[in-house]
Amino acid sequence: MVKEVNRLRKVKVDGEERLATLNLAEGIQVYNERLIKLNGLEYRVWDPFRSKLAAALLKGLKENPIDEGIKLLYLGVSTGTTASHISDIIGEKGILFGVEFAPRVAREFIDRVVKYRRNVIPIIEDARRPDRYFSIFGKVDVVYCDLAQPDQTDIAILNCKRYLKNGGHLLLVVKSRSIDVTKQPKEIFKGEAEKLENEGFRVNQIINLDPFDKDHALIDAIME
Amino acid sequence: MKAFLILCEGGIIVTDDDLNIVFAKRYADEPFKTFNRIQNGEFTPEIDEVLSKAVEKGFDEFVVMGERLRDSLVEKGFKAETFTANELGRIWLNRVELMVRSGLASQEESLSIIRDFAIERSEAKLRELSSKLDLQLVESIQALDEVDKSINLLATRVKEWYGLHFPELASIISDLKTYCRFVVKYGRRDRLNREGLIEDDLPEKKVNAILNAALRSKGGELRDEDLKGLMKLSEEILHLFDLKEYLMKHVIETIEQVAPNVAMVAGPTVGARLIAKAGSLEKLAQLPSSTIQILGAEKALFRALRTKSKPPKHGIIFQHPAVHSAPKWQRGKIARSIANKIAIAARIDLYRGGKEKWLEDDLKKRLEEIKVKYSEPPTIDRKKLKEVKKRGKGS
Ligand SMILES: C[S@@+](CC[C@H](N)C(=O)[O-])C[C@H]1O[C@@H](n2cnc3c(N)ncnc32)[C@H](O)[C@@H]1O
Repeated sequence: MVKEVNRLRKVKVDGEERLATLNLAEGIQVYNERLIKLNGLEYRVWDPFRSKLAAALLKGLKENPIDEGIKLLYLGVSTGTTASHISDIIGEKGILFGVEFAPRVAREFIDRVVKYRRNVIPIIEDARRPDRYFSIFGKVDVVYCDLAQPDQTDIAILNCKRYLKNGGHLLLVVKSRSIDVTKQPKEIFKGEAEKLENEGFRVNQIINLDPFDKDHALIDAIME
Repeated sequence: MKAFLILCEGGIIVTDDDLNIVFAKRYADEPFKTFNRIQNGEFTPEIDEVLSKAVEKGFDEFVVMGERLRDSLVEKGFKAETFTANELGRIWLNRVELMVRSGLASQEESLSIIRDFAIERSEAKLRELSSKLDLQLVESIQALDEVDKSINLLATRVKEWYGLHFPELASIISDLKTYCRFVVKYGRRDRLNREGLIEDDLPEKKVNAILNAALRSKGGELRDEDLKGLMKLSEEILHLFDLKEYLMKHVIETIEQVAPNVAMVAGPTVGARLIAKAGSLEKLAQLPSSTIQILGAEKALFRALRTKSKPPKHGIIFQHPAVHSAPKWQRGKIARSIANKIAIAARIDLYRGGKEKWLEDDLKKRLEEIKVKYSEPPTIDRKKLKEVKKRGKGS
């Protein structure tokens, strides 16, 4: 009988319960995170203060669409902190396309993440121009968007329409302050969710990331 | 009959206009380069072979990706057009399936071909982006140096002009910025006071010297109109100092993005000047370290070649504190080891990126060694010196 390996699990570190992912690039750290061995397997401890997706998981993301073997488009991949954990979870059969346009962070993303992980493909482009993503192929199961731009919901929608499968998930990190400083965070999250609904998405859940990230939320929506 | 020529990461796939595979041709090697050549309209052996085979099979019309490829096909006498954006989008998204179906590569191979290609493409793109930043760096360091020259020129004028009124001041305050501030703050020397000078952070000794000098000054009187002009000029110079500081910060930020390793080894401004002198980071990275060492000393080099005297030991690198603060006989060696490291740093910055701390550590170690090994000045070989002098004169 083949025993299934948990690619994403909880572990006890110094008496505290933490999230961890099975390291796809054994022995290699991406952002100085802790590596621990469990039954001969190496896991990387996932810091919810450094990664909004980890924060969302800890705050109870009900329907986590990120699973082994899926294909994912990541907008605003930056140096790849979060992307590296997603790469762990989706494993060798999955694919992550990472979009980033700032040269220096993209450089680090390539050197520290892409080069060690065969399931990660870099795309150095502006997320506002999805028609220029040369290296992408097929449609994806999930779009993860963390651009910290005021118009990022629109950018996410544009990308979903072009590359997301019907029924696929959009995970959208909303940073309330980058959209409008004068409004209450809650109002802003709702406003962004409404925008998605008007564009044919069904909003599954809005998760407030407090206390890991103040004024942040992650919206999980399905494109129908 | 119409054929689609689908140029993808793994090779060229030929289909009919219903996307039924006709045949496919893998690139011989270097997929990224070959792809770009073909897309730019060059005829590589791959595309030549594909065309003749397609013609043999009765195709006489081609739909291709990219206008340049189309144009060069037309030039060769073929009928050719490009895909519509929609068509291309659809085909391109499904190219893995086409690669597999045409036998170009297995599913797994296709993925790894696409990924390797994506990495090369990204690297090329990042190089291009940073070479644009390069040009920004070159302009901003030149602006900085020109502002600096202007400051020197104008401040020297202020010193001479104000010297008519207070000639003793120049030998007490040599720093240009402090001097200009002084002029702006006090104007005439009879408005000086101890508290004010102490507020300016001048050391006690200087304060006394200035006050004494003011009492006994041999300078003449200043008319109001002259004083006004002088003060305005000094104020502008102070503004230029602000501008200099701003540009300096900008240069440091930019070189940190463009060439962090060169900045680390050479220091940000010396590094920026070297890049400017070479023309770009790419050009600097192609220079041998012996050239980097004397970059900026071209005049001295040509003079040396003409007169067969000794070549210069350093150019811009002389501005590196480790060089100009060292005893004369060590400078050449220090300049050489810094130049060596800059040559490596420039290549890392161009091709790899990321800071390589060991470069700095290595250099420090090497400089320590030089200091210890050559702590004594070399004893002068008089006979040799004469010979050198003679030769210099002779030509
Ligand atoms: C908040 S950071 C992302 C952090 C990352 N998601 C993580 O968790 O590790 C936002 C990133 O999006 C990038 N970005 C912003 N606008 C973009 C655009 N239009 N196209 C591509 N990247 C963009 C920025 O350069 C930055 O690296």
